[in-house]
Amino acid sequence: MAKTPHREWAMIIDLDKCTGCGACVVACHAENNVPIQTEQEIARGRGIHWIHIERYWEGAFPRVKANFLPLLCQQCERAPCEPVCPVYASVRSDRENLNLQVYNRCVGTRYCQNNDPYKVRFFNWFEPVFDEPLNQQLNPDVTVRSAGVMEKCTFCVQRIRRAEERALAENRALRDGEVIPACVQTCPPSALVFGDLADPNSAVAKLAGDRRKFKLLEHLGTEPAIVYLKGGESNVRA
Amino acid sequence: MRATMKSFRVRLIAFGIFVVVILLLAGGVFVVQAQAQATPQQPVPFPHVNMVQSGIPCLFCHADAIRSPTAGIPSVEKCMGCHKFIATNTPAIQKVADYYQRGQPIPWVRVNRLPRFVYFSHQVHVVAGALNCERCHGDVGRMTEFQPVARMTMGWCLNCHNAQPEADRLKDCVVCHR
Repeated sequence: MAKTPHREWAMIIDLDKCTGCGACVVACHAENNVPIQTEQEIARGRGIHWIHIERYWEGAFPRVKANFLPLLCQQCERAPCEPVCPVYASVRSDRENLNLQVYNRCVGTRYCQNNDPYKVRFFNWFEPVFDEPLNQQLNPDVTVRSAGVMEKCTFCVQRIRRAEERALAENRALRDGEVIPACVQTCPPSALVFGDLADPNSAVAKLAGDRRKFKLLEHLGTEPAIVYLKGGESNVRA
Repeated sequence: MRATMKSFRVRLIAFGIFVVVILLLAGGVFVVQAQAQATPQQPVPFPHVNMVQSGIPCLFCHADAIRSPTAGIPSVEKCMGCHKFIATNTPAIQKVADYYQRGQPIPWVRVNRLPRFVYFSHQVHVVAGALNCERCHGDVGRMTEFQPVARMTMGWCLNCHNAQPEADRLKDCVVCHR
């Protein structure tokens, strides 16, 4: 049996390429059985989007520019959301560099949401409702979360498992680019790249050394697994 | 004197209620366990023993076990592939032939159940793990009526996962839950 190595799943988000189209948001909803809330509830802060686009305006009216930043769980190496969970529902997989949310353990204290500096954890305020015909396209590989539990981006762990199981059955190592989360797959300008940082030849390992790289709220020391590449004017070499 | 008698009676009643509750709970646990281990009634009696003793390997009918998460149940067409010619006059096979003629699948009753939040793959266990079917399903080759041999709880899975050289990986939550 082939020994599976330690993995460091990571994502590169090139802000120069992101057009803010929101295709990743739609793909994520479809892939991960994320329920869609009413406009009213979203306005109350009860909507769930494992990935969403933050929009920033730059400049004053005639010369104004919109900047986009896709925001999802940063899969921190030192996640602030984890030590606050009283029931170990929010745990870390060191072997894969993932932050896991164990739905069956979660009792809904929402401490993790409060302690999460990126605000990418979401609470199920209601039983999920999938109106016809959306109930026909639920992903059978992903649990439909019930009311009262937290949820967040998993880096499409079901796709990681599927690819790993396929590689194991074929008795070979996992290839770079074989695991593609739904958001990465759908991104029209390929602004998102996913892969294993532990493999020095992977596409993410090469991009992670880019001079434009930065991490969100780096000063907090959370060590996110998501590397952003600066976009816009700040990108121009002086 | 009266007061102590009264408190004694109250205590007796409380104890009685306690005993009844414990008995009900124990009964409930017993019923649930019995249901988990029950042998369901199948629409067509299917003695696995006959198939296996005729030399048919498990994977002849459950071929998806080596290429997908689910082992799969053979189609009625597959049954009829052999039973057009073999044992055609037994009542059970005539039932199968009826389903075939009507173009309907046989409504087999599921025997081994996993909760919906468990994602099990036959493929990795059979191919990469090199496990025999018997390891989890028991000696199906000697069963006249297919019945579960294990309760398939998380502890039961982990007993085996923890004993593997790769236990570190195999006890990660997201190996089975996602």
